[in-house]
Amino acid sequence: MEEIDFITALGRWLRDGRLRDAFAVNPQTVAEQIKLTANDWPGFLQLRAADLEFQARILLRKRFDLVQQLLPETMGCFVFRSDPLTGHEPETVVKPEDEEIMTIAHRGSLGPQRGEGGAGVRSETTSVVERKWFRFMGRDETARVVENQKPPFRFRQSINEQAWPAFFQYARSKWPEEPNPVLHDAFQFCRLLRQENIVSVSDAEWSRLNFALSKNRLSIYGSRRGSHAGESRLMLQVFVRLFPPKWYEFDLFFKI
Amino acid sequence: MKIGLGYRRDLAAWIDSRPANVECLEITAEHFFEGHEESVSALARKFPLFVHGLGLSLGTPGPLDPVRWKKFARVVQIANPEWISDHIAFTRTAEVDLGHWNPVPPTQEMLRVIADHAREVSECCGKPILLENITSYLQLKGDLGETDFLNQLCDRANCGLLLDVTNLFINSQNHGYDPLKRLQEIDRGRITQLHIVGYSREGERYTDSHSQPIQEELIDLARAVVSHSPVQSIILERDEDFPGPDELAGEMAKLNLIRGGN
Repeated sequence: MEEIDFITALGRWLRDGRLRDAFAVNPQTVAEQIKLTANDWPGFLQLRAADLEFQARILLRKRFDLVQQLLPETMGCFVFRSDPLTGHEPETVVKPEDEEIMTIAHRGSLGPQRGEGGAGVRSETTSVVERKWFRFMGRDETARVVENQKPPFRFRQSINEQAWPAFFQYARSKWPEEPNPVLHDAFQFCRLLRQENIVSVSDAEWSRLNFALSKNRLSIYGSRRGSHAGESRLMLQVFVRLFPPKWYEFDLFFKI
Repeated sequence: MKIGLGYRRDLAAWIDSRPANVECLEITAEHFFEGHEESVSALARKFPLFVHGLGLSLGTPGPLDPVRWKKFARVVQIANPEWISDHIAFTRTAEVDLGHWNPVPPTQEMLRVIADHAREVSECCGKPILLENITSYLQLKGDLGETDFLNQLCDRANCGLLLDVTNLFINSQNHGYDPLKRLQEIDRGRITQLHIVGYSREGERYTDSHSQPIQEELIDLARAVVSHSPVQSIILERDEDFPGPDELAGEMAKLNLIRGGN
């Protein structure tokens, strides 16, 4: 095995939690195993495991930030959880000028009786945007619309507290090596959420990720969209990839 | 000395209103990699611009990423900034893109790598380059002390220093040294621009979330720099939790205070 330089070695440490765990126990053994150049040993051996872990955590947070931008609805499920009255997952779209509902607090009248978490949020005035029946989005190869869709800052704390542990569990020792690592992160994270039933994953976002990671030219998915007004709609997502890597999403909404 | 802020789309409307104390803008090159060239031109018509890179990864041994480098150069060409900048750090290795800045060891070899890359970027863009210090939770040791490394790097690359006052403060708190003493060791003649924004706390550690108002101790530190260095610009680098216009104006007033205004 060839010797590696300090920067390459540091990169390996920072992206692999198992390597960091081994380093914390016996740094010299790890340095030998990865064939670090002799000149760089002193620099590495003086590193503190806790500092290495914290630096790595910052990188994981950056990955998490990017994943959130692909999954605003799923992130919203962490904030609001299930709505027991309608039986539907509440829809929490990030931007009011986007999709059907901008429901920051969809049950203002119920207030604190809804239980812990978000009571302050639930007392905000509901703002229901006029519904769209059709939406078109061009997406780049990473499945992002041109404008990033970060969840509002005021929800970040809830998302960080609730979603972050799950992401950390997935990401600490996995770093996607494929092109478009953000897509793979989002997909694997959603897979973990579904497998372990941590929270509902938005059907629309799951479909979008599946298409984005495929090589399909055309895919159509259907999903039911619930709402706080008790209305149900069917959403048809039509994905078209004519001139890769860019693709398009046409969304049609039908009242049912 | 001009004061201004980092251009962010969330602040576009406020910036368009031409508020007081916004005399220049720093644009992030990567935000314009996929188009919006007309936006850059429009900004350049209204404000003096600086172009700040996030991911040239000057600390990665080997050649610069050609795709990223080409896009960076294109943004510089359109923006026609007074200078360009990027970080004393690496974001990529030969094996992986880590997506964020990581510290480099203060060694002779790293001096050569970064200086060579900085000169290459500057010569190709035809613009002076500044190099910025980062927040690091690792304290890396090497042939040189941290400030010796900074000074020799600026000499070797013939470049200026973009001193991030917040990062200097954060590192000093996390690693236990006096930021003012560290400042005295830096070649002040090289400090051309400052970045500043409030810090955050995560348990015992200080972090750079770029989401907080500027604290008093940062203002004091920045004033100490400005009083002894030929700083030409101070930029507010707010990235998150953007406040309303009044609070933003308040933040810009702090920058005015730092440069000695009323």
